[in-house]
Amino acid sequence: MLLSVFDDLLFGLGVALTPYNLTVGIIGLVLGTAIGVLPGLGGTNGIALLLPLTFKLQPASAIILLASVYWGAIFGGAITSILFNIPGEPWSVATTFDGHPLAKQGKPGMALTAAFSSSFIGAFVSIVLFTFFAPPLAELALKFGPPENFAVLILALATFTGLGGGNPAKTIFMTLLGLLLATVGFDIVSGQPRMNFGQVALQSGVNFIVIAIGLFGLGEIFLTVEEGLRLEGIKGRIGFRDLWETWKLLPRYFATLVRATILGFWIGVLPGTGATPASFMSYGLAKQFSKHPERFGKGEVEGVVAPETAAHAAGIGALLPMITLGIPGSPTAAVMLAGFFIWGLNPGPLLFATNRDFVWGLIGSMYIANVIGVLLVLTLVPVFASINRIPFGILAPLIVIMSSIGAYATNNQVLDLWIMLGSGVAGYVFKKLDYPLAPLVVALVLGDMTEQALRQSLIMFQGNPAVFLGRPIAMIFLVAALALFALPAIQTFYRRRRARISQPAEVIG
Amino acid sequence: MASRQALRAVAVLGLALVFLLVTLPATGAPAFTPRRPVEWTIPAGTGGGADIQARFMAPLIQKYNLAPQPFIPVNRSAGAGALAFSYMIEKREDPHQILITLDNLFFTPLNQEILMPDRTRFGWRDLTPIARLLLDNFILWVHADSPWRTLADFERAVKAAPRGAIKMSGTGSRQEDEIIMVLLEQTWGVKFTYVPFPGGGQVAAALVGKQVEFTVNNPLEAVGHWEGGRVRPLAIFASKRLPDPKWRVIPTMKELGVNVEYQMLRGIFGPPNVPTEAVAYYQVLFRRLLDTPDMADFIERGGFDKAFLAGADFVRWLEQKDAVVRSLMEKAGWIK
Amino acid sequence: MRKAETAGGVLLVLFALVMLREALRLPIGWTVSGPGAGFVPFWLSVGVAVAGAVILIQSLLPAPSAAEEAFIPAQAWKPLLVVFLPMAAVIAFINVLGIYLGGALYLVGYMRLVGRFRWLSVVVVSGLIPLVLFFIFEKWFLLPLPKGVFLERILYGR
Repeated sequence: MLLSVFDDLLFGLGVALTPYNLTVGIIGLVLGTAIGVLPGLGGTNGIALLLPLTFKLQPASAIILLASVYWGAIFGGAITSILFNIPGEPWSVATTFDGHPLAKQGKPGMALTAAFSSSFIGAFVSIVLFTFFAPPLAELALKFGPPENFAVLILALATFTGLGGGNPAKTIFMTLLGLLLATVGFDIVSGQPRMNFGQVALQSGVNFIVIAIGLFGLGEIFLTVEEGLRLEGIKGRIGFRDLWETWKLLPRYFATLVRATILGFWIGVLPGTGATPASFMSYGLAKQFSKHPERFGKGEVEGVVAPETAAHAAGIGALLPMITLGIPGSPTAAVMLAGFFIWGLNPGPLLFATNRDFVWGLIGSMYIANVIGVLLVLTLVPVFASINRIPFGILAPLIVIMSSIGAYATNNQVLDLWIMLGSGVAGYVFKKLDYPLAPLVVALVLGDMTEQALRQSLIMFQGNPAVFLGRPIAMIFLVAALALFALPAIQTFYRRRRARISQPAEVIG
Repeated sequence: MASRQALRAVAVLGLALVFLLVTLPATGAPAFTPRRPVEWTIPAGTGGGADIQARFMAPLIQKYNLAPQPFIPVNRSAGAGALAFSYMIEKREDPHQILITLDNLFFTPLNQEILMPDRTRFGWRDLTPIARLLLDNFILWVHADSPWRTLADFERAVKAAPRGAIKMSGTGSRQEDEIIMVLLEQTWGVKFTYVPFPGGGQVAAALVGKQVEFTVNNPLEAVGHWEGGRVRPLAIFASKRLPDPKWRVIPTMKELGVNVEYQMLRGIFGPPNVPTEAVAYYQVLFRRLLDTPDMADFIERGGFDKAFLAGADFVRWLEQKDAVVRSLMEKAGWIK
Repeated sequence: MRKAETAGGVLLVLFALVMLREALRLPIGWTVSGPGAGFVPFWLSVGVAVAGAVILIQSLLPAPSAAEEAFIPAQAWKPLLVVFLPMAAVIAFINVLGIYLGGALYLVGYMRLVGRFRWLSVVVVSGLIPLVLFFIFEKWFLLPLPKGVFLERILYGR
């Protein structure tokens, strides 16, 4: 059994390493990185746009192209998050939390290196898991219905409860506000628009990437110009020395890397969740487990490592149910799945038998493309890092234009530009008044999915919540979530006790 | 394999002949050709049936050189298509905008009030009908591990089960999947539980993962699971069996004595008041597109009915379809 | 700063009440198949209103540190408006200007008025960037962005 996997893998690597497929893969990576950088072009969007081009290719080359675009987009998404505080991709929103502060402190190279390296580690370990355990994992994923998804999402929300730091009333307020904004739009369960004030344009909901671009990207610009119209760029050190220095740090985050990889990979495998919740959950957990949670949000390298590792691991994981079951694990995978029909394939478990070069060519190319991809982006770190040296007089309007394109392209509607501008102002005001922004965005992105999963579950149980008790997997996650919700309270209790005990020493010291 | 290739060769030859016949008498050039890329709105999300179809056809238009400009699919999925329809209303008279439909064209304007600029309520008649291309089918699928081998087995089990114990997953709410379920409920005098999901892929996944007991997925959405031996088709909601040998084994509901029939429109519409020359242009274009070998293959694999219809016949068909949808929704108690 | 806290609290409570009213148009009860469409929005609006009220009350209580500084420093108003107003103007006229021409104008304005670059660099940069973006989005990725009436006419006639 194991031997045959090695056999298949070698065969797949052979497919991926043919000069033609190698070229296709590299083109995909470059395109993908560009797509990741441009805020308007998400990985999902970009792959949908490239789909028609794959018509003329062999299925194996076509999937290698699209998958490479996906990897490139995951690498590239971190770049604008770190440099400009504008998330290039939904899953890189969490990367802005610590990535951008690092860049502002003159360490963009370090942040980028950490992002790319950890992203690669998450990807590589996930590919190995993918190679050897795809079919059993797919079976396990199928056991996750709406109740289990609900439990996982609640757990994701729970990881963020302690993230506020400052005023708890403000943290709670922002979380609830995010959840409330998530209800705007269209209610899939009743098939009716809701909370949209009669506006058809609002039926697409308050898109969290539009909000994130406004709150973080524009808000940051407002904060910067307020301190006087700074004209010069950030003078950061640029060079390959950052690589070594960052790599020396990485072993310290071993536990985070392992946790983020496993978590990300598994969340990716589950149908209907995807890389975005994985990245937030991973960030939240890293902070919960950290000895210095107060450093998060102020330029902690671990705060870049955690979401990036999970995001790329989830990206790989999302392809697993697509290949083994024909079920998309993420919106991006859903578009790739549309490609299967275009290439004349019917997705499903039979692919492993009937289209060996397709399935194993894809798996082989994951190894190749991610190795090439990380080398590519790492060599470009000094180039990306030097972007911050562009005079602010050019950079600021450029960021504004790119943000606008990004906000418009998410739903192809002008209303989102106003929402972006409004969130920009809100981001500025909130930041000045010390309202934490992260809980709002996390709640906004998870709220919709959570409510949907809850209501689907209750429909399945005919309105009886007690039936959750009969779903052991869901219960495990719900109990874990409860524990996490309670954790901050327990921690404060212990800290207070310890403080009381050590008080005399403090007086002396 | 060889016979298949031969078949394909014959098809290509035949097609070339058709092309010659179509192009030869066309002495008068059409009065309209696109001067800019044509924006092709999909009133559903990425990865769904309409999306796959539009993204499959758009590059074919370029491959067979059917138009001088590219066709660009754009998803406007919000509000079960409401956003797409209001976008089309906004683009009135623009000949460079087209829309691919699913049946939310009929359901959504009845479920919610979308307004025209003159404050009247929007309905499909406000758009410009161009052509019907395909009819998509619905098949009743159960899990391959279930004891139900025939529709009769299923019917017996359903009638014996307590109300609401048998669950079905479907796409959206108060759309085609749910209406088919209501039709079954009324025919058998039973009650199911409907669990809505945002897309056909997730609907199928819920069945494969045994979260629900059955679905009415489109053939394309479930074919992979069928081939993988995870789901089992019991019957098709069409008037006759599908011609392709793979699909032909599935009996129709009617021949099994259950009088429930439903097919979904895959058609092309323009914004309100598109010039007739543009309508004629798109009709010719899509008719040719349907006759390409790639489309033939797609139709076969996806279990579609090739059903080109345009002009007054199409409008008549639409009126009938509209009447059917209205009466179904009234029967279901969704509208008065 | 404290006045801003109070004003912010009032605004947030008002916002919550607007959302609450919108939620009340939906079924907010618990139906046979679980919560109605308005259940979650209703209780969240209530929660937001309560949390907002708590923040509001906190801002009114006497604070230990009475450091009173302006919420927006007087000298910051001008640069903020220089960024904000042109952006709002471009968005307001996006259907006329389009994203490319609008972007170019924004670049010219910002680079000239704020950056005080030489006219030559202003023209080169603000001409080149929209052009590059145009090719990336419209030509290579076929992603139609608002082009505005002028560009539409130049490109496609009519």
